[in-house]
Amino acid sequence: MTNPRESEPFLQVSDLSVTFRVTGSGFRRVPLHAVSDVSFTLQPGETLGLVGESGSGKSTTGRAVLRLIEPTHGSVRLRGEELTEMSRKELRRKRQAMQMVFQDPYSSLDPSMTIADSLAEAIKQHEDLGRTDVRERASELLDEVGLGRHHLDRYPYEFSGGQRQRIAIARALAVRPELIVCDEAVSALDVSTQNQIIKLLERLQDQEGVGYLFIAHDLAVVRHISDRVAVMYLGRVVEQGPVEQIFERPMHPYTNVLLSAHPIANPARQRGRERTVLRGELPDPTAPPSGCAFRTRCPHEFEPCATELPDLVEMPNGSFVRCHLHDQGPVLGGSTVRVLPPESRGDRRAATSDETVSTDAE
Amino acid sequence: MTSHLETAHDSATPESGETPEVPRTPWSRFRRRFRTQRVGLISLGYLIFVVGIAVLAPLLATDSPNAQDLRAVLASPSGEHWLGTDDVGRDVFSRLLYASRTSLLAALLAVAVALGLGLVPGLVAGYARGRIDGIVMRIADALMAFPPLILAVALVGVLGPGLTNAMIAVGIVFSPRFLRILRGAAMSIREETYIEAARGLGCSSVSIIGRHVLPNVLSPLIVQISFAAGTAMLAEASLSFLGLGVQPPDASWGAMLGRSYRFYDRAPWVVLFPGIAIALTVLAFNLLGDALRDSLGREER
Repeated sequence: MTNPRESEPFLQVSDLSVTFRVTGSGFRRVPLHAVSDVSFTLQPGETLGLVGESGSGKSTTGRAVLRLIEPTHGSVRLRGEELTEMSRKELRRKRQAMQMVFQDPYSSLDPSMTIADSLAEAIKQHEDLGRTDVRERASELLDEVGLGRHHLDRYPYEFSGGQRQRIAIARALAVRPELIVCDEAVSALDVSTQNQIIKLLERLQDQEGVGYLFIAHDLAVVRHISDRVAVMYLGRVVEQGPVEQIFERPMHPYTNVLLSAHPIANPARQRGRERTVLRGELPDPTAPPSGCAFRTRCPHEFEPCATELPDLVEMPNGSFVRCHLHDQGPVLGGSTVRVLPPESRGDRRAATSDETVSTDAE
Repeated sequence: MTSHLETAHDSATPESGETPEVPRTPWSRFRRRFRTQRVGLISLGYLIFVVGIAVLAPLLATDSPNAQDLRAVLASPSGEHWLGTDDVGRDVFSRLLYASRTSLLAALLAVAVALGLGLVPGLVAGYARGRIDGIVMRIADALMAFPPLILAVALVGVLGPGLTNAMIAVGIVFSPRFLRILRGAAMSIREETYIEAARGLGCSSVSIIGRHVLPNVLSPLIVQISFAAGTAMLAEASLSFLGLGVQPPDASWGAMLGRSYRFYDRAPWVVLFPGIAIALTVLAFNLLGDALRDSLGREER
């Protein structure tokens, strides 16, 4: 916490790429670009939400940051230290600084270990304690995540999903990490349990100043917990920015569609709003479309999309967007047109006249 | 024993799932489930009985196992020789008791050798995959390509006859089976999230294999051990039958069969009783293996 350069991002990911070799048609080994040139930064105590549909490379990104999957190229710097160039041994020591909470609380705990053993394993990675001290620390950790010490000698199968996720979080906390990658950490839980776990994560962030890379497909959860959001499509970040900007003023057509797919918990508004439905399927990731990968499903596809990959450009509102609408598209009133948010389309149009053009999208 | 059987009866009644005390450890969960396996319990009881006989053989035997009574060669079962005598007048009952020691020891030795050779390579191959896996599996495949008995005979030919060498040979023949089962189990466990979580904590591969993979392959392993013990006993019988195992005058069940099968038309008891002993014991090991498999399976949710 006593970082002299407080403004320096403690996690800096640049041009991270992961390519898998998969067996394609005819038993040929073809490259699958699961993650391409993903860059982001994270400040201590900050939460970056990572959203996108299945197969967009969110989880792979999270794992590559921790080098649980080897990145093909790119750099991951944690407190200025380059993780991608570390030897396995150095990396093992460095793992204390970064932890992961997994999606499936039923398989992330070893079924043949008691909770005390699972936690002890983590504690011993971090500090050299005697047996009773380890047990003491383990019950402290359980306490921290809201479970009693009488659970210590139980086995994972005796717990509910929410309790197991708490244990998984306790284990991640055991090494006092600065970064926790939450890979769909609440997706497998029911809504009330989700709520408890999110509150727990937020409280721990306030206490310990942990940074979260929060991977999820549930937009409501991401909106609630994140400070900034990155939207991924087919391995690339298509839009990245402050959470309110992403949800209120989505710039990328994909973000727009993604938000529009999310129902509003108000039947009247839900019925009244116009929905942009995504056409087609997610393209084959081993043979992505040329140019912009989203163009095959984009309602706004125009000339350069098939040939040129758009760059991430900074928008006046602080977001970064990878879309030709914003670097080569029509300009109106000195600013580029943007895709209107799916909700409250009508009233916003009156407020900002320069957005009118995009209505022809419908 | 009786209390076990009574409990087995209780839990066989429907809706007894809501027992007041919740099973706390995998061990107590195993016991609870194993108690309902009547066949398994009987097999276990029988095997304990056989082990007891082996240990207490000197006390139980009515005669010295190697003492010849040449006046009563191939005598039929009688008050003096409960199970008759063999072709040189030795008491079959006493020999059977002493032979149980050899047969059990042989099974134990073969399983220990097979486990010793198969355990570590199997776990490492399954966990590491890649080139290590390729090399280990090619060696295992080469061993498995031989007909088991022929390979065992060839190995005994190299090592020299004798019970220890015979069982080392059987162990070598069995080791690929252990290896493959452990590799398969390790391969499925390495995909589990808790392995990734352990890697994420910074655990080394060695400690992951020892602390996470091994405990979770224990149930298929125990089952395999009990099956292998039965098969090893049969292999010992085969090798002793061929004269490659235990050397006379010591007896094993297989050696007793091998020596006396020529007289089965005149004195069927010399063949019958060792044969029954082998058949029952191998059957018990197999049934116990089945029961263990059913009781050790992980309880989901």
